[in-house]
Amino acid sequence: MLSIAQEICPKAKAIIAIGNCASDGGLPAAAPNPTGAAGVQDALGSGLAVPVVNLPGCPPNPVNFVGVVANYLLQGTLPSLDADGRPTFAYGKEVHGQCPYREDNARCLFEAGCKGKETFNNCPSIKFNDGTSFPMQVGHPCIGCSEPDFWDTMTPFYRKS
Amino acid sequence: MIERPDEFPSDDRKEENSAHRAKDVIVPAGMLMALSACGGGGGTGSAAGGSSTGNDPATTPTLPTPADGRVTIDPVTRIEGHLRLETEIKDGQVASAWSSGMLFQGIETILKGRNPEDAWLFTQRLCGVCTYVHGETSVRCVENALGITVPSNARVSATS
Repeated sequence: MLSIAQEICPKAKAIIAIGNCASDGGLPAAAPNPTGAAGVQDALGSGLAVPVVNLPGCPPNPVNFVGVVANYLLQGTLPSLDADGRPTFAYGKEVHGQCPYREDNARCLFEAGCKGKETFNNCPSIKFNDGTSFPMQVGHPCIGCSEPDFWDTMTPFYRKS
Repeated sequence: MIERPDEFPSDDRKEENSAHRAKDVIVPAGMLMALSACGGGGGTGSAAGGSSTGNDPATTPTLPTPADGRVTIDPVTRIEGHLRLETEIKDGQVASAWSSGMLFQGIETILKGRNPEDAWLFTQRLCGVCTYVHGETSVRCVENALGITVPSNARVSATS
């Protein structure tokens, strides 16, 4: 896998790392990272001259992937990225600020460990499965899956942080 | 029982066959589909002598006979992760076979020392296809380990 990436990636105009495993190593990279897993940027090192767009999330939202591609096709440039390499059009706002239940005491899941205040993504706005739903809509707190190393930084998931 | 022709059907295939005699044969993943397509009847080897199996030749799967040596299929696709299959062929028969999971994630190691409430979220990431089954099984493992008896209503709502 690494040798394929080392051969192919330097020839690309840009690399789109879809999902946590491609972005930062994801679950296999959770402590103690028994396999030495790493995201594309880390695996290829700082010498890589090709820009990497990270689309973290477990799962990542396909709408955001299409957004990156459409941005490139229409404007010829990559979208603006934050410090973690994430497009700001998708990961620019915290989840809590977009959550329709943030002022609904009966449905706000902050006390149940919701990580919406520490997580930047657009899940409540565009939702998943063609706009059907997102975690808090079905009563489950956000686990912070689009933040780097969230398996270690956001756990335990069901405790208020 | 699978009816096997003595040789590959064409001379070209025969040469390819002998070239592989003393070494491992790597079968590309697409070949799997080609091989399974032969099983539908009327395949490449269906004219190779009389069948003594008593099966209808039209429905008996026929496959080309590999030479002695190893046939390796790596990766086996359409599954989550990577699988490697190896078969050792002797006298036209599979003498031995091995399967290997080639994508070790180490989730069991990662789970050690963590809050059992979180375990199912880790475990279900084993597979992007059968995600839910791994999650549900992990929940049951924790319930079992802690001696928790789950009320019927909870069990139904968790599995619906």
